[in-house]
Amino acid sequence: MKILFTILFIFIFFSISKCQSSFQNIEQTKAIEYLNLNKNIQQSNFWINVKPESFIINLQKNILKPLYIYAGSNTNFCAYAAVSYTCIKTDPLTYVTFMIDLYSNGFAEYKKVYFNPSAQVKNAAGLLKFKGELDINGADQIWFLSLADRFKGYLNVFNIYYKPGAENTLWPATNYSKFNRMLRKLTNYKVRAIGADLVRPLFNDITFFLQEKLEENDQVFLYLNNAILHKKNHKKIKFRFPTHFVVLFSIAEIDETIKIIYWDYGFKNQMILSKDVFTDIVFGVTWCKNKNNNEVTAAK
Amino acid sequence: MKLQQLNNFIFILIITLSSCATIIHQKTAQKYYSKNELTISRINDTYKKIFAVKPIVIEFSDNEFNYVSIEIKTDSLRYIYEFNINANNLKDTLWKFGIDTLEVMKLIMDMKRIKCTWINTLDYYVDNKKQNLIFMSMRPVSFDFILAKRKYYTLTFYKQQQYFDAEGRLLDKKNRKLLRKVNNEIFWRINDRVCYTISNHFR
Repeated sequence: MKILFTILFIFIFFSISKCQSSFQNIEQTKAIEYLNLNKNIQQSNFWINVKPESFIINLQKNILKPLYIYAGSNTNFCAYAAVSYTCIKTDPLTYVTFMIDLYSNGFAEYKKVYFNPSAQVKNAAGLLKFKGELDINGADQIWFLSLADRFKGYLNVFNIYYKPGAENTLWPATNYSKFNRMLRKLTNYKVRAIGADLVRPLFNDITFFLQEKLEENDQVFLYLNNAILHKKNHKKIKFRFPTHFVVLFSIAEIDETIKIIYWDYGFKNQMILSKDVFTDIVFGVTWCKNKNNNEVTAAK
Repeated sequence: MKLQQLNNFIFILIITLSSCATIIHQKTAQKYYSKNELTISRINDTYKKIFAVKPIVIEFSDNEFNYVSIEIKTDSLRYIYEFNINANNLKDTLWKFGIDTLEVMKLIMDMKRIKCTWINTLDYYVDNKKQNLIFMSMRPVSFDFILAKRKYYTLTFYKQQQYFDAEGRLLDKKNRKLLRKVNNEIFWRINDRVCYTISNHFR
């Protein structure tokens, strides 16, 4: 009887796992099928510096491995990369349809958001250099530049229009409300958030709070002070404001330290840091739940 | 009129002093490389050997060079740890990942000796082909550096011969005038395969 129960348990466990992974594969398969239908796409008259072959290869890579989407070195595209990770992971077909339309027509709609990037942006895509892997990812350049061109926040007031090199400036910078707005408009999520650009939210127990949000939701994002998380100099006095967005996968407290697993810079990272430092760097937490509760979400 | 002349004089003085400071620092950077060439080359060679087995990044995270932050990249996860260099858990962790503990400790001690704060590899692309370089930053403690805004000497090591303009600045490729930027900085020639810059950040 015990053996029978064990076999039954193993069978159910594998059926569920297979069901979930096949769900992901179905979404990806649909996107790849759509991409294959368009694999002989002609050179765009609008995005003249992005070759169709490299564009298709880039899209294919993003659909199959959204985890590796990379914002480039020394750019201010991190918010767009975090949003992209979720968009491509949960709804690759919408993403690929949009990208093909945008490449072919110069304008397109993404879940009712209309994109018609400026001529300067269209000319710049494909020409971004010295950004690591982003140099060869023409489709990512189109996507990040289009997002930065379309969504604006108060940080962009003095840099509204794209100029060559603007990807390293405040032109694509993203404040917290702009980030949440992008998520609401570009995903099928109900988005809730706590935090602000200059003031840290207060938590009774940050670990418990985040664990609860991870358990109840499909995706959790953190808005962080990157000068401490991703140190670039040894100055004792650091600016105490957030500049960076990451996707949180898990959090655990061990003694007085926090172990987090998160997505950042095109890879899954695990970091151990003191609880005080972690509490100090978190300026915002955004949690998202699929609007259709019955649907199994691929993001989880 | 006098005020205008005074303004002009101050402006010219500032420009002259900052140009002098840059030239002095550039010369100091080259001198620094010559003085520590042996150790720098050893660090480079040891790092290459370790990296071939397991991709790893090492950073000295404090001013006193007692703590290292180590990033170890596996197929699925990048692990980021911080250790006191004398703590046993540093060696235990390296051993767990199958990294040669002795080599890494030797590297860390060499890095500490010449105040090297950071070492990693960076990918770059020439004609859509992936290449990589070794990126090393030092923070020498000297009087002029205490006053300077840019605190780090950064060296880049290439596998292939590089091309430079008449001023010794690193070019994107042969027969092109475009300057190659690494980490958003312009680099200068030390030799055909080694370049340097002075930066206000170490990575």
